[in-house]
Amino acid sequence: MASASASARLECVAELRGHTDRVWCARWAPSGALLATCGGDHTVRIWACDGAGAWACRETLSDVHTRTVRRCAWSPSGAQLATASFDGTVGVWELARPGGETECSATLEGHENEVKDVAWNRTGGLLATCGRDKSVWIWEVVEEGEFECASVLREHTQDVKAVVWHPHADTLFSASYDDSIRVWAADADGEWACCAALRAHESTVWALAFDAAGERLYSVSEDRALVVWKADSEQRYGGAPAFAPHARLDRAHARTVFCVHCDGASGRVVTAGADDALRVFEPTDGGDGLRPLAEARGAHAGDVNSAAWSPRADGRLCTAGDDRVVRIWQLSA
Amino acid sequence: MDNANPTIHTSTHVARGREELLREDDESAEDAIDALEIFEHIRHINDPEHPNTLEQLKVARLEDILVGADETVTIRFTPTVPHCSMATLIGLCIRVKLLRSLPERLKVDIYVAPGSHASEHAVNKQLNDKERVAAALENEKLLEVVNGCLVGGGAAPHAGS
Repeated sequence: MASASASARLECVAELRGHTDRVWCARWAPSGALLATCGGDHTVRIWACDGAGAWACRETLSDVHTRTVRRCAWSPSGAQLATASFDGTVGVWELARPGGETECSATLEGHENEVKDVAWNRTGGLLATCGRDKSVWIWEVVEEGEFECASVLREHTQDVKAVVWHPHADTLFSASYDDSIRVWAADADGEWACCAALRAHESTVWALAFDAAGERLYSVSEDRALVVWKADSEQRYGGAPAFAPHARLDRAHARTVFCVHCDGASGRVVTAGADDALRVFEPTDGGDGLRPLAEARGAHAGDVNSAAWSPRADGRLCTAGDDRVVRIWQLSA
Repeated sequence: MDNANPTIHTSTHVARGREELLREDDESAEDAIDALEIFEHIRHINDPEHPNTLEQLKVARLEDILVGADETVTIRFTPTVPHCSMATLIGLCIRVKLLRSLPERLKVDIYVAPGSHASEHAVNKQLNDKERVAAALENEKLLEVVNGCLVGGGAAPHAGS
């Protein structure tokens, strides 16, 4: 396909309404059967899909966080949900079966103010958090429902917007308002430290995502670019490779790009941002670059804050917007 | 972008006359928003430090408001002194006023006028980071200060619509 124009279609197949303020984040449970969303109304909502494809809110978790819930993250087993809030705390929730009541089993306190992201490592034994206090915290699960702070990492010079674990190593990547991405790993003695600072953006780095192999890292920024980082086989940080900028889409969006996510099966990358648009890119032959595959302009009536592929590898996406709505999309050729 | 700031007085009379025309439109109508309407929303904001409005101090000027064809609004404001510690707060007041007054679909960028502030880049970056703005607006003390600047004698006739 010589044309740079989009060649596949994105169709909105469901709309989830209930949040009463901006929705900041929407994340699929590992099973793909549930969604967790959170936002400016201080709530976390769990949505379930019935056999016919209809989504309904199963639970609203509203009794723990007192301010915006910025992001949520499912544990690898799907049994727990962690939530990062502007109230300075991180909630860990034990997910109830249908009809039951999801309860907050732990509240992690330590950040001085707004917590902006939370991420489980691949085993669910480590939790990373970051926030406006410029720090990244590593928490260890010591017993079921009990967390211990393993390290507080202060190298970023401005607030930290996002944290993502490498898919195959206990190496953490953080994105910041200081325009950099930092790489963190523990040494043989279990001491955590910064291994590298990755710089390719001209402004705040809002989000990061890995491909399934952990050989491509994608970053998006206020500078409107999508940067593709490629693993360098020579250096290794705590089991993860070092990364170097490889390709760059300068105007991935017309305004700030807030989110990026890579589909494990297809390698397709979704981005969304302050231009209200949702875009899908696919790796070019040989996997060296990205080309536009589909787009939905006006995907939301306002900024799109979050976009993620379904873990079922079925071409489904969920998005969350400033318009208080969560949408499910189907990508089709 | 025009960097010059010619000191043209926008007379209150002209602005109000225009506003009355706008008010005749139903709020549901897809009326085009122009710089004059934006100015009308922000000119009466009180300066955090002085007993004057942003218009009176020429912090906000009609000619520094640009409305793009793609529903974008760019506002440049001019702090009274280059080291003004209130620049971020003034920008936040402008943002909050417009959040409350304009349709949500509009994209608003707020900057200090080029060369008008010692920390221009830092102030601009902070004012246009929606996450920081959202967090700031959950700070009750700060919100009180902002609200204090938005009320007062010079409130626009149809503020908060």
